[in-house]
Amino acid sequence: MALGQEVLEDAFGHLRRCGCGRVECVLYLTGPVAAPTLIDGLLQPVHAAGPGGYSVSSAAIGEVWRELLVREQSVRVQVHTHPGPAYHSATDDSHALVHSVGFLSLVIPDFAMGDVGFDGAYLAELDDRGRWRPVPFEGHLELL
Amino acid sequence: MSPVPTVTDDASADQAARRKQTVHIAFNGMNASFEYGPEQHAEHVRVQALNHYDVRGPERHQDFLFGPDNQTEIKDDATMASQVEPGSQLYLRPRTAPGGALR
Repeated sequence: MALGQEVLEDAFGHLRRCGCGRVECVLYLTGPVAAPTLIDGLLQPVHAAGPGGYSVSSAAIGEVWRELLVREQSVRVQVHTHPGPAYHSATDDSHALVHSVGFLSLVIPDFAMGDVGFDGAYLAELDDRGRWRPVPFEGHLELL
Repeated sequence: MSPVPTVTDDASADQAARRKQTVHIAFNGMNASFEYGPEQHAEHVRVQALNHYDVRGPERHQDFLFGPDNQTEIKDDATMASQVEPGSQLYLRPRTAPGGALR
């Protein structure tokens, strides 16, 4: 999956402004349905959040689904922040937005208040048995 | 040797084929058409869509069908005819999507 630097900077900007270094935040990296390995934008759902978690309601997911259909875009990567170290919690495993093979989940440490990039970040991929496994950024999510 | 089809068999098959209906189901920006029989339970169509979109694993049954308003959930154990107009746009998606470090 290829991601432009400007999209990553935009994502960090959203995560920092929304979370203010105090609460978690979530957004979705998107790409054209017709170009499955490209990420060229993001969508931020309406969500509730606290220092240790977030939640996206049914109505908010409905809005995301409608927007994706209109834009002919798919969510490629689910991104959320953690207050400290990045990892995949049990809820991250069980309640991802998408459970299709190859879907990626990116967790950014320290409420995304560090440098823009993947230092300390955690990347997981849904495998063909429907289980999340950690994967390296190289070959899975690379900056253009 | 298999029995020769009768006129009645042909007529029944033709009638059944005519009764097939179609809905569109959107998932993660993609949209596809699915055929169903009006008396089939909605779960049958939902599973078709899950397979089509390659939704896997123990969590796949957290994705439900929602109606054209994208908010009203289509009940698995009720017939399609009782819940959905033919040709409708439906949505396959989770009810909620929580996450985070302490959840």
